[in-house]
Amino acid sequence: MSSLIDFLSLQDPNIRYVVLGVILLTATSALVGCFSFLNKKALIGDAISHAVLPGICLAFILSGSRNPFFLVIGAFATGWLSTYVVDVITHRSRIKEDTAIGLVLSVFFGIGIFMLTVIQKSGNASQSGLDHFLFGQAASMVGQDLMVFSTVAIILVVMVILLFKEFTLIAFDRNFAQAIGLPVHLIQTILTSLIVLAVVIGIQAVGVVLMAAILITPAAAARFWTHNIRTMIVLASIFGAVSGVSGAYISYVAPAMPTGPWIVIVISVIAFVSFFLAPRRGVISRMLRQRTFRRTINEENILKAFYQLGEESREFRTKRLPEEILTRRSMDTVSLHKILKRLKRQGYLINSGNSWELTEEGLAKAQRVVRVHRLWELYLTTKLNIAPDHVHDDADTIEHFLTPDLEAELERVLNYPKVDPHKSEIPYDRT
Amino acid sequence: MPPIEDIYIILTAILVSSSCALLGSFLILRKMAMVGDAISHAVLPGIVIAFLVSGSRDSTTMLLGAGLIGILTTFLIEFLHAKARLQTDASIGVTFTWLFAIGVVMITFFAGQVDLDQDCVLYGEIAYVPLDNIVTDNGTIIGPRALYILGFVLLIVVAFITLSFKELFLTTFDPGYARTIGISTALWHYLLMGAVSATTVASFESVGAILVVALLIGPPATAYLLTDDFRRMLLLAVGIGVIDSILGFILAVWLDGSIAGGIAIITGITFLLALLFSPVHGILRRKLISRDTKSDQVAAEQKV
Amino acid sequence: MKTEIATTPAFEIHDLTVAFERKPVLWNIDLTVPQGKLVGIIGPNGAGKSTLIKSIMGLLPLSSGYVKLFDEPIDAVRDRISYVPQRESVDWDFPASVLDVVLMGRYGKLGLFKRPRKADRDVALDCLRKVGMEQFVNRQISQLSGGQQQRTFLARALAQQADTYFLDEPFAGVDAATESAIIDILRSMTAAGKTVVVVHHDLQSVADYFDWVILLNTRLIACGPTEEAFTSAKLQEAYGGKLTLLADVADLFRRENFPNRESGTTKQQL
Repeated sequence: MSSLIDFLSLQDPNIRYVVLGVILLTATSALVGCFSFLNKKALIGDAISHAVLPGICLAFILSGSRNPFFLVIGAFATGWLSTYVVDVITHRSRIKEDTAIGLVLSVFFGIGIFMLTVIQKSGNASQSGLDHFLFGQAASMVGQDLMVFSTVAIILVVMVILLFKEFTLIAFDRNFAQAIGLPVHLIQTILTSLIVLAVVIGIQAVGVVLMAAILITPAAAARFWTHNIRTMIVLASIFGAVSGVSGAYISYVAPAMPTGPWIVIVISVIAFVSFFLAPRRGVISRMLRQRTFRRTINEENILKAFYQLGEESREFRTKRLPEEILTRRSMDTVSLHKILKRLKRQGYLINSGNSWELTEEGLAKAQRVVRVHRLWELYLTTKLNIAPDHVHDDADTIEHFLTPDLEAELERVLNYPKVDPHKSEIPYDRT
Repeated sequence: MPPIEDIYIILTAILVSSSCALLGSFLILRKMAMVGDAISHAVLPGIVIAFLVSGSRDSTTMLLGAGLIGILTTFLIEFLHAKARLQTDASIGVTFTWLFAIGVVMITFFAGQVDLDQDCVLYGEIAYVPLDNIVTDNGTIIGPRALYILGFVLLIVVAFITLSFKELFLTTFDPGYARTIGISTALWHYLLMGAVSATTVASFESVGAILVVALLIGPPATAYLLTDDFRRMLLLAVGIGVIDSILGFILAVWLDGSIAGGIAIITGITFLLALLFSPVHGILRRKLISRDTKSDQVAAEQKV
Repeated sequence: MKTEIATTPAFEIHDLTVAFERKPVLWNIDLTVPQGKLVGIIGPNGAGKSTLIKSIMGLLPLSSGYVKLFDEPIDAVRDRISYVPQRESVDWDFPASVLDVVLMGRYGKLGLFKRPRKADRDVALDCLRKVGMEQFVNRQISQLSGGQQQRTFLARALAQQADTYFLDEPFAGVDAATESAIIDILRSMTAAGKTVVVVHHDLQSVADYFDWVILLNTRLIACGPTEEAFTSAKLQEAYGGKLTLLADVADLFRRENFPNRESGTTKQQL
């Protein structure tokens, strides 16, 4: 625990560099990665990440040093080259895009690994840090690194802000963007460059092999929480930053552990949690909604049964016994009682002992369900020419979910009819 | 005559490249190249667990257990795509990076008990293959363990493809039609991915994750550019894999670099050559054809 | 036995609804088609014609209803049903020969682990002869024209030696000679008692080609002999007007992820 406090207090300048650095790297990568995600180009990010390795090695060989400036240039060059090659292969031959990506990824990386092993064997003293690029080593960041990376990060953020609406439009509807005269090709080139740049600085923390995760996973996680792109981008950056700091912390506590994998584990956990727990889009939320729908269906059906009994006896507000309900809707008595109790809690029924009756609200609700059901049956039979004996099931589902304005539309289209296909009266407002 | 160790190394590479070439041909035609890439990364935690559990390099448990993880990966990708409604590319990306990260962490964590090294999982240590021999009870050395394992895997792959050729062929070409005549596309998908898992796992120690991908995709892609006949494509892919392995080895020895890296480089070079010069589909050939038709057009116009 | 089979409808669809991503594609379809007819499925774009065939073949999930072929569910009679998909559904860059593709039609009869034998090859060659492609036996499919591709698909279907054939837009992007050749083949098939169902887009040729018509626009407009079903009144209904309300309702369902049919309690008729 004390190490956590030490870490978070940022008193040690080394820790400060590392934490700041990591946040910059992971947050901006996540930011730019959102557009990769929206364009459904996640895997190209993977290819770029692997492709920067030979560039780094080449820069090292040519410059003889680990100066981050040269390494960035080298990485950028091969990173960019890889997207170009994927493009050429896909468009000038019959090779499909996924094959091109996988090929470029593995061949470029193979070149990088080859160079790395040659360098390692050459015994050049300053090469010792190069293999940190494989899995990331945030703890090895120093002040000078931070300068370079902060500059790049600022460039990235500024460019995204400037070109935000263009990036968004192209991701959403490329053809429209072209049609209104946007220089789509140029803008995509810029986006690609930004992604390559993000990769180039991000690998310091995460490493080449897992860099793709920082581009994609924060975006995927953020997507589950919101429809709004601005919110998504901010959220993704936050997720990225959190995972970055966590990874750096673990590196601090256990120096033998490479940072990259831990950052990826943290962000993946965030992502899986998002997939399951996010409201609306999350898996659990969907399941709960389904359960609520089923309940609504069952409850409204019981109300409908009350109504139908009322139509028969011409008296809606009388007490009914559960057995009577069961003549209209067959189900087991236990479930029926559960539903009756729920309806009572919601104020649609009241009971005395074992007999139940509709409240004012209950009657209005039941009436609406029946009205929609009969209107829909009429719609299906008159407008869609569907046989009258086939429309019931459909209406049985639709009746529970039609919104008020669709209901109004339905009434209008049918011209406020009085009876349904089975000659039952369609109940409008009761006095 | 090169030393026996070198021959063992090259043979190992050839066995790996052959299995990969056969399976990879199906993968690229199904547009599942990146799923193959994902599986080759995702099996790492399975390998580590198998190491821990079996305490040694007992291959059968390792193959089985880790191979199951490959199928699990396929399930997970499907789950994310179908149930969580995540787009395909992200489903693949999120799944394999996460599993691979866990694998790397496990290696560092269990460093003492597991004979793997985090860099080595990327590019393998094929040079060590001749050092790990199988010794029979009465002391005879019958050759490197890797050769036997990989030979066995290749046998299984060949048997699988031979027996189920038409089902694999049809589900690759026209899955919709396959379903209408009662062939289950899902079954063959999982079987194929299972085979890819097994191959990946068996190859891991010798060539690492990245080279497996290069061999799964490179030679088949090269063969795809050279022929229009699927059976010929399979054979060509195997042949190209052999060439890539041999030349890659020579390159690595010459420049003193990683053998896996060397093979990957040669894979890229042979692909590039095919891309440019293929008599059927090469870029230069296409340029020549269009130039021919253009000059034909000009000549025709002049005649009029 | 023979006469009994002859009176069984080729296929029967009951209350079939297929709801998709964006819109309701098919809603409460009810129809029956007798054997031996050359059936045209007609309707405007997006009417659900392809969807109907795919639902019958079991390629798409049904939201409600069922389909019976020869009075059985499809899985029981798959060997009697053949499907010719749209040409775009496959990648014609695939390294396969014409013969390879046509032989696929025999796979259903072969079963696991068996290879096509001489008898199967003979059937394949015979089918290629029927569609006039016998000189293309070993041609790579990437070198075929649109019409030749279509004929290859048809040959594959014929190789199944089925009783009912469903073809999805077989005349799309095909030259006049090929179209005429294909229609002749289809006519000879129905003359031999087979049932052939074609999704068709060209109204001009309907009366000439088909003796039975299914007119669709999300819901069934008409299903019957051409003279009865293909009238200007029915066409008016099919091609005029939109079902905006239906589309809006289906859209609502899709967005909110409502369940499609009631589950749980059984219910009585109102």
